Amino acid sequence: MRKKYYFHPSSYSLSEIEEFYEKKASEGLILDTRGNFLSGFRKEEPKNLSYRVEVIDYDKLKEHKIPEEQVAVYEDCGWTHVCGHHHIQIFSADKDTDPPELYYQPQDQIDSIKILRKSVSKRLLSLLFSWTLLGAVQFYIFAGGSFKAFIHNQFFIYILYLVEFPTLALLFPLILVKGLGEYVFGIISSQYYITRLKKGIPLRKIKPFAKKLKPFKKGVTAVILLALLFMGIREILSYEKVGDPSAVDGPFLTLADFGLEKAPPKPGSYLGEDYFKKRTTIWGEVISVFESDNKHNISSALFQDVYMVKDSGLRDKLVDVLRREYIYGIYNGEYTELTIPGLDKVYETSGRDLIVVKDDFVISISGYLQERITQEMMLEKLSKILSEEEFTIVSP
Amino acid sequence: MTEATFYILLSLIHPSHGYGMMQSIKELSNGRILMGPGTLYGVLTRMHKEGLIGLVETEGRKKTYHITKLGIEALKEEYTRLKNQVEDGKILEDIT
Repeated sequence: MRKKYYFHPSSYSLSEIEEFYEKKASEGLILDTRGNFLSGFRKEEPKNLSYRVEVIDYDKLKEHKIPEEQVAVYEDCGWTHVCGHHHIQIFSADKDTDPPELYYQPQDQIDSIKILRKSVSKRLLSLLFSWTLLGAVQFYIFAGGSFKAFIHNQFFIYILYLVEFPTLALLFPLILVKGLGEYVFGIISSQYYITRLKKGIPLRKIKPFAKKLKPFKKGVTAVILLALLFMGIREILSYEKVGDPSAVDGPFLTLADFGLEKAPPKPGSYLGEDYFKKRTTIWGEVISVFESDNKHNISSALFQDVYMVKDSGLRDKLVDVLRREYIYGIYNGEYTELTIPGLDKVYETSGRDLIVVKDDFVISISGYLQERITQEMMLEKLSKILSEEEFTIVSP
Repeated sequence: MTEATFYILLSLIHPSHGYGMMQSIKELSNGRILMGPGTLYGVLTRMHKEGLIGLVETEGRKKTYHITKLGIEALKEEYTRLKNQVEDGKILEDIT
């Protein structure tokens, strides 16, 4: 028989779960299985069923299963065990048989809700512990010194990630917040139930905490997901790759700009094959270029990352990040500021690494060209390229 | 001792199982106390651990319990306490 699956209410919204399954049964969808997020239903004639949720101490139980004796006691009273997932177990009974309530005194149910609160608190603590451990390992291998420097370094990594892959960079904290938020919500929701049960309000009559927030939560989630989806699709569709950067007119240097000849690309070269890659992001564009002369003893090779960032604040932050070697806090050397006509800002280090800023562009250049081509010549050429009135990237 | 524990112990003077206990509690309390299977199972598990009740027989998944000596002592103690409470409270009958 073909099953239908639907997202069920949160495991911390107990009375809502019962209402949800009852409504489905009245529509002819009888609960069959319950998973983490989805419940499976089989199609039958509509039925007038009552559903009750029971919380079990899943972590402590043998084989992590509801005890058979508990099922027997409940079945004796007309409640059939349908299914369950972890702490949440579902029982059903025909409404016409007038089955007894699982708990006549609301206070009697507090202990089972406490199990839920304890379990979610443990999960929250283990999540925080694993994050702390991960952070501690990163701090241990970080060579940049103090904890403050480490936090700065993490921030720099994130900024770079945010500029290069904004969709993933924005999704990442959202996933963290969602994970953490779910547990925090579970604790608040369980506590809310306990407080109400203590006041003598039956579980079924407690309007779930989650239900109150649901429309807001759904709306915000939908907007965020749609925005991220749109951003992601835009990035993917805009992706462009060309094998020969010299054939592309772009805001970067090519070997052709200096009349340097290239040998045909050699597969298996230790530097890899030449490429030009471009993506459109919400900030502007990200271009990666690599080009070498492909000769046996490579005498010219350029790695360039071009970031077109329209937001000046983010652009300044990016320049700040690029001026620091961010991996594990190992500093490559201090950058010296140079003044080059036609370029807004130029920073140089090690005699060959450059960071160039011009209008919306931030260009990070690393590599070397033949000895006769000096850094000044490279910068003059770049200044000329970037000073063209309107810049368009023309792919071959 | 909670009311639920008291009545379950009382109902187990004669060996019984889940549903039987619920029925006899209802009868013993003249319908005043209704006990659901959730409450019953929770209290049974706890009392069994504390040795207040023991297992008489297991028939499939169904288990029949009876009150133990320790359970009778605890029940009598609670009965005496409640009786004393009622005696002490008789003073209220003179208050109009």
